[in-house]
Amino acid sequence: MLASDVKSRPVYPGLEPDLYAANNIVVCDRAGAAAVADMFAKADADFARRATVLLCTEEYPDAKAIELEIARLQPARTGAFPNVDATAAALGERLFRAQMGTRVYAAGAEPLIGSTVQRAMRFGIDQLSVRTEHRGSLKRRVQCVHCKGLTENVTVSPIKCSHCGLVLTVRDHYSRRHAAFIGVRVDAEVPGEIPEQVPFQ
Amino acid sequence: MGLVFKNETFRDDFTFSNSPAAIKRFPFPFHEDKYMYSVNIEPHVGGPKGSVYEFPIDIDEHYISEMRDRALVLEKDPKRCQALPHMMPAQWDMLELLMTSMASKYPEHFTLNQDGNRWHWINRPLGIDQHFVFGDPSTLPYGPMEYIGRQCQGDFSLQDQRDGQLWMDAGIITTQADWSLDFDVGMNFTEWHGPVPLAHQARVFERALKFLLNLQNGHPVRRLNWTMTINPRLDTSPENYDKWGVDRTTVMPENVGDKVHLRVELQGLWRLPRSNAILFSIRCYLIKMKELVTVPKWARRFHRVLGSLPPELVDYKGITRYHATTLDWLSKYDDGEPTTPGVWPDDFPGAPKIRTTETNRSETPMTVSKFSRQSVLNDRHAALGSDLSTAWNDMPIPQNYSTCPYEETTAVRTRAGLIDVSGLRMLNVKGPGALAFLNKLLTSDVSKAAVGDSHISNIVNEAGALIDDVIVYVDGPEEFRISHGGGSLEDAMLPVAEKFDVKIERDNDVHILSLQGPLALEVLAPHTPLDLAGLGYFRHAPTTLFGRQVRLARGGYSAERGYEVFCSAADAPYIWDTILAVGKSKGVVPVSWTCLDIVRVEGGLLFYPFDMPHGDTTPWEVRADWTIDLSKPDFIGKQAVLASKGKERSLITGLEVATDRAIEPGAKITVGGKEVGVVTSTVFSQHLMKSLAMAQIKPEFTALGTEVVVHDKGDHAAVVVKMPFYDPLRLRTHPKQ
Amino acid sequence: MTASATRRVRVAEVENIAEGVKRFRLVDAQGGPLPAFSAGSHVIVTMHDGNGHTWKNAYSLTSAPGDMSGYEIGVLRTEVSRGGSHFMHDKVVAGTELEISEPVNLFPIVRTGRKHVLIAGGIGITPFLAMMKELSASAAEFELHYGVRSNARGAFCQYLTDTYGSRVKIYRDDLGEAIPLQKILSGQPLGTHMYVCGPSAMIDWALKTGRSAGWPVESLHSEKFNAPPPGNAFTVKLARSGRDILVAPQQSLLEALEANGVEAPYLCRGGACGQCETRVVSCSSTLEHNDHYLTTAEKAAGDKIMLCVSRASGGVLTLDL
Repeated sequence: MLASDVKSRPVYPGLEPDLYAANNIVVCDRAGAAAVADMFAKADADFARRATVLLCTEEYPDAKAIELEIARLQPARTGAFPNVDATAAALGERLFRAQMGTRVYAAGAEPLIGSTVQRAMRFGIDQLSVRTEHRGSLKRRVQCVHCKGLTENVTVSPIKCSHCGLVLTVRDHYSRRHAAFIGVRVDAEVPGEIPEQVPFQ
Repeated sequence: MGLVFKNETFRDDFTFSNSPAAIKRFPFPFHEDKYMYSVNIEPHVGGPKGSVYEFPIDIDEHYISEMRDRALVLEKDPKRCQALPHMMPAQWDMLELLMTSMASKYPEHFTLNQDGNRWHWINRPLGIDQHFVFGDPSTLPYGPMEYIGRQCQGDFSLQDQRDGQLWMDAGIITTQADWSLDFDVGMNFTEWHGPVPLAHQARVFERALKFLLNLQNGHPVRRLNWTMTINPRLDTSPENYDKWGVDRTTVMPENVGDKVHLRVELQGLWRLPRSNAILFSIRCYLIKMKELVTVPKWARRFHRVLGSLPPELVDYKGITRYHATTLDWLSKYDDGEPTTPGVWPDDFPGAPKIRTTETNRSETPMTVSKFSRQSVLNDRHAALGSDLSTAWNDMPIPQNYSTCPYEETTAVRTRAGLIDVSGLRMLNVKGPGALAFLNKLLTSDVSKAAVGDSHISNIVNEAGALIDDVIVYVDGPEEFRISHGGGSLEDAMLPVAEKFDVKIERDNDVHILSLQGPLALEVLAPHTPLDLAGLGYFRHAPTTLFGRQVRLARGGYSAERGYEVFCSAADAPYIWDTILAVGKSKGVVPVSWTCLDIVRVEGGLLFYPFDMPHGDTTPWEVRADWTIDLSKPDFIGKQAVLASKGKERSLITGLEVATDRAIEPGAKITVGGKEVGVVTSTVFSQHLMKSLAMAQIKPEFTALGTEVVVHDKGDHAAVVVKMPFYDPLRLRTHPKQ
Repeated sequence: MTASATRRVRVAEVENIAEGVKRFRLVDAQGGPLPAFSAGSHVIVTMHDGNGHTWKNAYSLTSAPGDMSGYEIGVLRTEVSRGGSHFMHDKVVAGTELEISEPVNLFPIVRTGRKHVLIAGGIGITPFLAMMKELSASAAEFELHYGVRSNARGAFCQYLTDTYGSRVKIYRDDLGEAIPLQKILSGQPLGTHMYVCGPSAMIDWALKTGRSAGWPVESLHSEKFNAPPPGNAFTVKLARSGRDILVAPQQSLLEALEANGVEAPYLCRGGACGQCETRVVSCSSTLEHNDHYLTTAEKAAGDKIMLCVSRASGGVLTLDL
């Protein structure tokens, strides 16, 4: 369970099926797919029939593995997308035509969840209504407060900003709007005084 | 009127400085010599003339320069001003509030003419003359929030209320202390306060949120926040941290006076009418150390506050690198002299009328005393074995004598003991508005007290938290005396007193000698013409004792029948000696403050702030409901007191602990392994041969007979008992004649 | 915080607008402007009958939020009344002076909503009158579905159809018309919010329908006009002061306390906002929870009660007051 003293660090309560939803849109990656399968098992077969899964396939070893996953998630319809951005874009397309009675779910690594919530917010979905579960990697997306650039796949702190090169301490302060944690220059007071890298717990 | 705008910079060459007038009105935030975090919300309804609190929006000599700096920040980084689309109505509400306030309080600088929706705004200092249509953004050069934000000192954020939360969905933030608007915009209250450290503060924010969700129109509130900055830099944003962070390492002993600044934020919160949003203003004031020390009281106090700051706060406020150097520099200005309570400089022109009578120093061969108040009986205390090393309320007290405090207690319980309680602070409160003033300040309805009553009351702050002990002696329809303890009653009363026709004087001459015990009546009665036996419980009267003018008050802090003698400093030694002389044959002895503490805990009597451990303990939590008169139209903190009723986190409770010593105050209490409370005041009572503890315990565990465990160097069984522990039926203080 | 500070107003107009419904226009007694407010706000009107009887009722403001020259409220004369609405109908005329609180909003428009579906039943139309003025002024998308008993008893029907045209649909009970809520809710775009105001049972039904249609709770909003239901007389004991106060059958617990000089905080007086929550020490009979604030678990636990609408079925109710 991801926890921190910092209250803005999001907590992901877990996937719960909304049995009233007419239309379920589920976004997940490889690790999150297990959570999705668990959720389907909790509900009736009808629930999965009303669900569309948008699968981010970045971490699958080959096409066969992806095929197997898609089969496992039936009777839900599953679409496969190569990375988080493409998956979020696919979500956007579906939400563009969606109506009230649609429920969005996200499971997997934090950047995927963040992009999902961010995209849902653009279509008027309340951020608190998206059901989320964290699975797998502790990697984060970090926004450098100085240049506003985003650095992906961050697993340690401090980290070098991939845009401006400043070394940043990654704080637990998170913005849903940016779908990222804030990074602040670690050696602003004494340039060069950089502490050891520590991986996220 | 009299505002001369300066031309100065908050960057590069840093020419900013405060004029002497600006120094005097600086919102110094520390009312005592140490800093304790608290919610400290109070109504934003004005303050002393000339102070920063006088008007809802404060414009000062730095106005033009600050607006210029803001414009520079926005030019470089437009993201310091953002508004989510749905916040337009709130933006207009904000524009209306600021324009109407500025125009009405500073008419020589700002004019607002409103003809229906067609408004005409003139800002003379900035040379602006603007016609526009209220509600139509196309008639202004910027969005309404940015438009007026560029003309008003302070950062502003607008919060939308929905889903039981507040969402910071708009803001113009160019002078913040180290948070990023662009990152935080769109967050809710809980989220944007996330990074503040110290776990206990999380509860503080929960309560603050609840309070703000019910903030009503016409009832704005304010609070102060403080931090420190190197160089008078307004823009200490995280975006630019890599530019200003290094400033923190440039502080040297020779430049502390110029470079190190105390930075105080005056935060205001208003409910807005049309949007139902909340406007949150953060108005920053800076003062350099060399300016600060021109006010001797602030020099001493800030040195002491900084020196006693907990390490987590030093770290969180970013002070670590220059903490020691600054402390060292300030120590030159701290001569150890006492500081007066409250934040105002002693000569602040607008401060309410409190005058102190001459202090009296005892003629003792004591070494240098740091305290402004001394008892004239110090030599007697010294002779009795006290080293007078302990102080309370800025006065040394006889904490211990050579006699054993348990023997002193026996004297009090079986004969009578005499104690010097001149450490209490006495105030004279007079005038046609005195009653109304007291009724506004205190929680009880003072008008229900008759002349001659010693009326026990309470005082809370705007957040409904107790801030002192208080008794009101009613001497006449317009004459009262207040006796209070070690809290902040005087601070709280100053702004309130401004609004009433009342004169307040501290009485530093009066001495209070308390004779407590079953024989007290027969010792004193023959020596006063007053019918002392007929003086009712908590009644008082002016009379003479041994021929000297005094007031006698029945009551005390001992759970015995006793009398307090209020006399002049000049008469105190004679009266002290004579009481002991006439009482000698009856076994009357002088008793110490340690004895007083034993008898008061045995009597289950509260002592501020020790029995109020929350930091914002409410009257309900000390079972002082009977001091709260909710039928009064209004009093400070009434709303919060009403709201906190029935929501007690704990209640003051008595425990008998199965052990042979006194429990350490602060000890934790558990039931079934779960923490349910904390011990506040304790004694091992030899009179009852029991270990007694007063505690604050969760209400559901306070039923008589509840078994709990107290943890103090081991686990001790304890049980909830009725208080007072000694004489639960109060037969001693209310004897049947 | 409590809504107890008041402003004196004078009734400028009284109009019968439907069978059993009157419209009142209130202006500041001293002729000044009244504060602007946000749509959905209500004021607590304090009425004195001159015989020592006082009523405090909450009424939604129906007038345009930007109109500072006066406030309007709509009052239904309820058959079973504790006196307040009867007083308003029978005794209040143009020129009568009343006291009102500052506007308080417990039913605001959600500003991030993209469309607003308003469901009104009977006198529940009142907050929507102000809301629609605000929504149309900002060109927001909305539709109103309004259930009335009959044409004669439907307040403001003509005004609504004239002003808002096809955005308003009226359903007459006497013609067997019912609000087809499930149909209305299906096909609404993402970001739509539903607001319902009317009789308790209607609100419960509408919220249930909303959930069953798969709408998340964050998009469903309601305001109940709860008059405190009457019950048996009982005694309330204040544990801390030891006082005993009798609560009469037609009197709410909050009113009984106020009548005896014991003040308690409140904001809505209708069991919805939580402000008057008080701890129960013991109850010799059964607690009757008439509020919408406590959870089922909290109601069952029996250690809290909402003073403004709930009661005990008899005997002695001891409160931590």
